[in-house]
Amino acid sequence: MSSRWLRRLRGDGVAVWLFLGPSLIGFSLFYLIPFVLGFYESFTDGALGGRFVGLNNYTDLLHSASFRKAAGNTMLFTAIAVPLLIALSLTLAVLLNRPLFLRSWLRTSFMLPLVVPVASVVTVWQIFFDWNGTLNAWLHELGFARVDWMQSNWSMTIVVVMYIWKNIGYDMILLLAGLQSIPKDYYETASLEGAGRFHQFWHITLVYLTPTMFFVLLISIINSFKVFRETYLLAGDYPYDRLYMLQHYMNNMFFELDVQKLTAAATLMVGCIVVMTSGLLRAERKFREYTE
Amino acid sequence: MKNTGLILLSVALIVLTLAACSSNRSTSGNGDTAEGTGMVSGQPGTTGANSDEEAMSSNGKKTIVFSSFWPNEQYEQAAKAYEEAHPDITIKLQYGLSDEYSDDGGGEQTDADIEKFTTSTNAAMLAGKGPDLLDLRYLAADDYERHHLLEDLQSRMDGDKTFNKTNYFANVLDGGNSETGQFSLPLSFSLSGMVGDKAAIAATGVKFDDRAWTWDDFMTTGRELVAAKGKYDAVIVSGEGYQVGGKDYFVRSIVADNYGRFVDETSRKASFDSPAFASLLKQIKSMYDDGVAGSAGRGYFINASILSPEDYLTSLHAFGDETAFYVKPHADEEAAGTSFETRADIGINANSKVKDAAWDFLKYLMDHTSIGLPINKERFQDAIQVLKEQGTITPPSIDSQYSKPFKVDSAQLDQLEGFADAAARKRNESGKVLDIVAANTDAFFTGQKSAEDVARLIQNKAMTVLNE
Repeated sequence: MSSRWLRRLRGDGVAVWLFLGPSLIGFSLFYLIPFVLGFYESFTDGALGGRFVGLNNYTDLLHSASFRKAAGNTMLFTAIAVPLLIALSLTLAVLLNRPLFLRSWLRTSFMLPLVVPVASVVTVWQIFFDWNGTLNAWLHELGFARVDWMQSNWSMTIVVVMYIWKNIGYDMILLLAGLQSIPKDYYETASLEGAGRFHQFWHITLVYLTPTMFFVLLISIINSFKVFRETYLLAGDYPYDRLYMLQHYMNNMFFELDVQKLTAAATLMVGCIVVMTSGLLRAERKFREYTE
Repeated sequence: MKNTGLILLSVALIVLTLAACSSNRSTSGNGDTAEGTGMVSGQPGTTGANSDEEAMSSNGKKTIVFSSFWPNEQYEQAAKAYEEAHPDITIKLQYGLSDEYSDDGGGEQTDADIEKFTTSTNAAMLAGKGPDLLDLRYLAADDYERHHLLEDLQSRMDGDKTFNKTNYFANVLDGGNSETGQFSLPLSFSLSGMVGDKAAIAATGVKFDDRAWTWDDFMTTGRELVAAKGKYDAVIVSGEGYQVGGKDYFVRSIVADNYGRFVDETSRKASFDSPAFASLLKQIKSMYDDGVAGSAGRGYFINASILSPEDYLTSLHAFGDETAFYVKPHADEEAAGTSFETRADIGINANSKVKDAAWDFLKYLMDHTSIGLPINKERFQDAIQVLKEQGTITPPSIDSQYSKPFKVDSAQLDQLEGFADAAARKRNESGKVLDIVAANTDAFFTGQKSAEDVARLIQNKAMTVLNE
């Protein structure tokens, strides 16, 4: 090995690449390269070496009523579940941020859903919400008409509840960390100057929590796309059409060997997520500049 | 110097992973280069890559790769005979089954093999490779068709003067026809109908014409049979043969028999929300309520699929001394006739380099194999003749129970071709829509939901499937 090589190897740049290398290789191999290949596929008419057909696959995709339904459902789900989740986890975080009986136990209990394997929980939910399940048995005994939870518009509600149950602990921990980083003096000063509880919350807590909030919002949105796993385990590959999500569509396209629609749908979805996240990040930057 | 050591280590690791990948590929390559007609089990599909080169080898010898999940004696014989007649062609048979099938504990291995077979064939087909000729059992023929991975055989049949459609059971042959062409040809088919206890029916004095009856006629006949209080309580029991199925199976099999009535695959529309489907559900329920359909034991009729001439006689014999084969009732708008299912459907890979040779071999297979009920009329008659000459049939023994040989009934056997000629409706035995139908009707039969609610739910899900 020549001395020039050695000198170059000692540099900082090498260390950076060495540490980044393994994860970069993994990321490229399993995510980036397949996605770029898929992106290319979405403009051709056959898998591997098909003709270039421009936006044909995208028009086909948008003509598919099932795709439109799936996209609508996914958006609806995110629009309902994420604000609800953040509101609830913020409430919990604020409650648990003050001295409370059994506080640490409560905190742990909210974290539990995160570590429980989904598959085991889903079985219980299935039994609970089935047409002939526990909840309907209770309703029946109380004299109410039973509801087909999984085969009606109620199904979306159930998945929203499941999503909140699963993610509330995680969001709560993030928000708690944010709450604890707000200096106590601010509150003391505010109360000395006669600000009420609500005023303190609105003008101190929420304002100083906003950077954390952006992060929580981002994570929650991304997690809302991941709810497919629960839905799939709960209701199978063709659930009631309120529950039919984008990932159901892609999953079914995969099994039907429809690589074109699959890749086109994936590209559209990634596009939407990128636009949304970059919008959020930009808003966060704006906010920071504003507070500074 | 610590840095260098680390770099060396990581480089070594990367090289190792890459080597692992490529070594994998080279082992599968070894399997591919196996010569001759001997079976290459395991890696189906992958061989196609090599067949391109082999097909164009210097001495003009062509190789047709023919892939099938189940090993088949008939395929082997046909391949051997064809190779002798055409010295310039080599036929390579590959099977998806890795071990010889055995009844004890082989099931799991078979399932794993099927999965491996479908995924590797799918991947190879999508990549424009794969075998030249495929037995489509376990493969997603519809999906292949939609993605233009199979050769259109309609134009082949039309353009080939040596292909004479009248040699075959034309209704069955056209059964695989879709609006865009025909992408597979069956070597064999099965008939689906009912075996009835002729003596018991005659004793009740009830008369009917099974060649033309609709479900309504069947209901009327059924009520008369029940009212006659003859040998059996029920007229028909859901299920296939002695395998008793539930009400959901009953619905499923009727929808399967009349698939085209509820699902329009061409314009991707389902019509389960039509009054026809709700009334079908009600009709089935009333069949159970009136005792026309029973849920245990057996009735005057038993659903049966006829797989071969021998199977035909064995089924008739097994269900009673004096029995007959009856045509299933049909829906009002449908043509009367037997419903059938195609078997041993063969397709040609659209990306094959030896399509002409594969087509020629496919024709040879249609004319020279005798699987089940052969599609070729001459082979069909041969099979019947062979059975007549044989004189007796020894049914396969079930659970080591000795079954007595019985005499071949020539008169019954002669009727079989008539049923085959009358084949009119193609059964659609599998599919997501049928699964949805079967899975969602239970709430109606238990009286928890109305027929209309169930029909709406099925329509809702079926449309999701069809609109994808």
